[in-house]
Amino acid sequence: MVLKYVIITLRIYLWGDFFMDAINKLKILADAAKYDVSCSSSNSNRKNTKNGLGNASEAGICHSWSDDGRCISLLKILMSNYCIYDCAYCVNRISNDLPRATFTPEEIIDITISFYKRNYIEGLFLSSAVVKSPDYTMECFLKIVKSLREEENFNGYIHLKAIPGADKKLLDQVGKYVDRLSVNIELPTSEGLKMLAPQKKQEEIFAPMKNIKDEIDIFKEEKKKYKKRELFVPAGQTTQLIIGATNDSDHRILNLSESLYNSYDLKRVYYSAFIPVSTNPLLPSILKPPLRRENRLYQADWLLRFYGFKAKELLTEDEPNFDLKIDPKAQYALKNIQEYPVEINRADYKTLLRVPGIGVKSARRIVTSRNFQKLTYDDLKKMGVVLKRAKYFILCDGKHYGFKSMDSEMIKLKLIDDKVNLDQISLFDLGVEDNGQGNSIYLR
Amino acid sequence: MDKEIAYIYDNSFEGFLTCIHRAYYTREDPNYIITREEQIDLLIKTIEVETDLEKSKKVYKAIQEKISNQALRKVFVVFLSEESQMGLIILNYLRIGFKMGPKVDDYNIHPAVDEIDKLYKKVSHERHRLLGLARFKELENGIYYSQLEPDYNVISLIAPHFSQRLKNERWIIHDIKRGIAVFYNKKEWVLRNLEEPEDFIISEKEEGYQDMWREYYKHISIGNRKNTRQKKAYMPTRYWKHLVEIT
Repeated sequence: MVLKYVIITLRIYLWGDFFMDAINKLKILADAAKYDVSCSSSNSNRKNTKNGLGNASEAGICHSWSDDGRCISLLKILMSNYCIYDCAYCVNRISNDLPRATFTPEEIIDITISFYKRNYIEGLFLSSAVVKSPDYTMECFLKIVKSLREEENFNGYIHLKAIPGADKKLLDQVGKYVDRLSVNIELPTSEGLKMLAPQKKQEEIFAPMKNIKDEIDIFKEEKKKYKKRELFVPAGQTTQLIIGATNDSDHRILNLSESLYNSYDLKRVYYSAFIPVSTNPLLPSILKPPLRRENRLYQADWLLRFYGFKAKELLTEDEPNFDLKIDPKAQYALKNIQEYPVEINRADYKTLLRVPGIGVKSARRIVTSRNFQKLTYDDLKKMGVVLKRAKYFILCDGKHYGFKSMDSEMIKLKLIDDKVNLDQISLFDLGVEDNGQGNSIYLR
Repeated sequence: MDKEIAYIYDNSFEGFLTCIHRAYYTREDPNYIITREEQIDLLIKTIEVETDLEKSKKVYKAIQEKISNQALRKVFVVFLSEESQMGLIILNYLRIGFKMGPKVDDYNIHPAVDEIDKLYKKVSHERHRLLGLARFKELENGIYYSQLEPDYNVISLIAPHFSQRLKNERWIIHDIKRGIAVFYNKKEWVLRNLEEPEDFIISEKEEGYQDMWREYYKHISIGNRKNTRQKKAYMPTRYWKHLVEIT
């Protein structure tokens, strides 16, 4: 009897301790990870195995939405925030005075599996500060992901940050176990990197991206031949760029993105508006984070990936930045007004995609529906076309519903974004955290 | 003027398909296809349609063969919406579907196709949403138990997902609004009636993980970017009751 009582108390005590400890670390290491933009769990269709737990969903699944309105799909944590580097733009830099913690591999594995079984998450997004050395950090990662896959038979989604400067062999090894790898470029140019993150080198960032790309290519080739070829980063790689910490133009950034998509086969480039709250003289003294600029870059990014645009069609050396008043597609259309109006009943899919107000879905619907009947202006409404914008650029069976003349100045006045005036949002709405640590710079 | 007609069926998909069969073979033009529980005007002529497995099978096959598998899935998913207009929406869709064959689904500006697509989207959307929002609690006996109150009758649509994902666990997904549940025994799932349990004993670690998840939820949000409107748009408040993280 007594023994039973003692065992129960001991168990409660031990579990209580485990949870207290883990919760404290979780607070610190979730806080440290939340400024990474990516939380997507898509592009992998990893299947469950015989004795396994979990699978991945090609389209991705959101499990909750936090108070800031962002989707929570993965358990997004740092393994540790003890960093040896001192990058001026980063919250975890060595010179910043904030609470530090490190998870053990066992803790990360236990939390991931337990959250997964309760359907809190799609999987794990693991990142880390650089602990001791890049190789050491990657070795810890390897231990965790290998154990998750091979010992726990976990088949849920894993997104891992690759640590620049780590040995290629380590990268190849973790690639076998994870669904997605990402290397954050952060600063678009090497000059920027030299200034703000002097311990990092651009080659060290691009080298792992190149390695990952090459290994994925090999994987894709071999998979055609052998069905049972082990996976290698099936959901591809992504990266993140900080916007506005350096004075690089949109033209430069968009060209960088385009070449990343073309030569490294990236799945996504994320953009993160820089929020300055530092007295560091190397950082620009802007007052507001360039949120609208970030939004324009995302829109342009979509145009590259889904709308068949080339970066050089959108921006040039002479016109290196996006118009903040109108979106990039409208900017293109007004600049090339001679290409419009477009006849809805005849224009091919690619041309339809270049009409402001017509998206991928509505362009597809137009193409399939017009096989059955001629489309009228009213039909377009049903298909999700935003006529308020599209009407200046289209003909429906020869009829135009916009202005009599194709005057781009007049049309522009009608297209100006007036929904949200981002310029008026104060700094404190935007992720500048007042945690009493002074000098912290947080990324959105 | 002819009296309006209502077909009454027994709530089952087979019963519903029998109604479709009758509409075709009698050339009647029903104004309602509804279950016994639904209220209608006394002046409407009601016809009790008895479920006939042979007839329902014929309709089932006809949809598959003359239209497509996708059309059959669409009809079943829309059937689960339990909306009172659902019966006629499906009938109208099938009428044009049987005429046009598989290409009917590209003809999405036709009002009958547009209407069924809209309802199909709503039900599929809730299904997808719940794949993420369902929460399991670990019970003392190792069973993972989830309670839901979906707008539409979707638990049989989410069961296949979890029988893949949690295939080596025993679990129950319980729709307490309808008093039905999916039971999974590591091999297959079945749908049965189940009343709301008054009490169940959770495993000793369950609360610890729930606390952990709540803390994570709090700390992953960027405090000064609070955007409750967006959060509610993606995750309507009617689902919050069963979410561990929302306190």
